[in-house]
Amino acid sequence: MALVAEKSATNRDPMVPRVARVRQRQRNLSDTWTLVLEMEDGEPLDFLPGQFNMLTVFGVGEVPISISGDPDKRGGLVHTIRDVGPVSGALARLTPGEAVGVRGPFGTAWPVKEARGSDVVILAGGLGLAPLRPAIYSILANRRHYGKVALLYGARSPAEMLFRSELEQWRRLLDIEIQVTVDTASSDWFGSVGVVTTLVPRATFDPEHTVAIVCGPEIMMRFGVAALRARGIGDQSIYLSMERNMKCAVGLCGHCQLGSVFVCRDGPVFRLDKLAPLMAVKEL
Amino acid sequence: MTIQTVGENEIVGASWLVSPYRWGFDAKALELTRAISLDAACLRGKCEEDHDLGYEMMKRFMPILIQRLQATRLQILDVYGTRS
Repeated sequence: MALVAEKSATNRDPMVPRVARVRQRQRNLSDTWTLVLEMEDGEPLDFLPGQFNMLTVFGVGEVPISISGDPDKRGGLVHTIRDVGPVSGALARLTPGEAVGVRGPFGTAWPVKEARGSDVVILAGGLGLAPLRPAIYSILANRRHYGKVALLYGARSPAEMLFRSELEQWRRLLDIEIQVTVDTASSDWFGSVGVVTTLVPRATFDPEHTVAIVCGPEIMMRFGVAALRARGIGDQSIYLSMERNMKCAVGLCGHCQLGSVFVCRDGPVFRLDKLAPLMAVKEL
Repeated sequence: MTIQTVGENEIVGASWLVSPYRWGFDAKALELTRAISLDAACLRGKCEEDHDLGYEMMKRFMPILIQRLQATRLQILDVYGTRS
C-alpha cells in the first residue's frame, strides 16, 4: 500500500489553513495554470509525490489540488490548476502577491520508494500528468535505483499537452522512454494518434518486475488498467490516483467516501487490488 | 486529419474483410516501413472454401477490431475534458 504522509506537519491543526502568497503564475494551456506559492510563515511545506493540498481562495471557497512540483526542491509550493469551476477559476486568476489558504499535505503517496529495483510504467492522461510529475522528478533524481522507466502520456491534441517542454526535455535524457499520443491531430502532427492505452503494448518493461502508476480521467484509468493487466502486470503492482469530492481532507466529513474508504485519507493513491472491488460497483 | 497511428505487428485496414470491401481511409508511412500485403479477394475465397480457415481468421481479427472500436469510443468520449 502506498505510504501515508510521513512528512506531514505534525503539530498543526489540519483544519486551519496556512497563508501562502502567489510568487509566480504560468499559463500551461488555455484553461490550465501553474501557481508557485510561498508560505507566508517562511516554513516550507514538505510533501510526498502524489499528495494534495486543500487550497482556499478567501471569500470564494476551498478545493483539493494535487501538488505538481518537485518534492526534493525547496523554494515554492507548485500546483497546477484547471479552471473548471468558481474556486478553481478564482485560483487560476490569482496574480503574484495575492493570498491563498493552504491546508495539507494530505493523502497517500505514489510508491516511488517501493518501486526501487523494478521497472516503472507511468501512465498519464490529460491533466493527470500533474499529480504524477512529483513522482517523475523523484524517480529521475534517483534514476540508478530503477530498471526501465517508461512514461506513456495521452492528451487531447498536440496543442493540449501539459508540460510539453518538460516532456521534450525528459525524452532527451535517453534513459527514460517517453511516448506520447493524442486523440486527434491534423496531418502536420507526425507523432502517435490514438488513445493512451494503445501505448501500453508498445512500451518496453518486464511485466513481472514492474510497478505501474496511473493517473487521468477515471474511464481512461479503467481502460489503462485493462491494458496493463493484458501485458501481465498484477493488481498488486498497479497504483491509481482517485478523485472524489474531498472537503475536510482528514476522513471526517464523508464527502469523498468510496464504499469503505475515504479517498482523502486512504487515498488518493490506491493499490489496484484494494480498489478494484470498489471500482466494480456501479455508480459508487 | 490523422485518426490512428499503428506500430509493429499491427494491421492496417480491415475493410477487405466485410462487404462491400472498400477502403474507408488511407494510410501514410511516417518512417521506413516493411509491411506484408495480402491478396484480399484470394484470401476471402480461401476462407469461403475452408470454413475452418475462415473461422480462424475471424477469431484473430475480431479481437483487434473490438479493441479498435473501444479505443475509438474512448476518443469520441473526449475524456480529457472540454475547453471553452
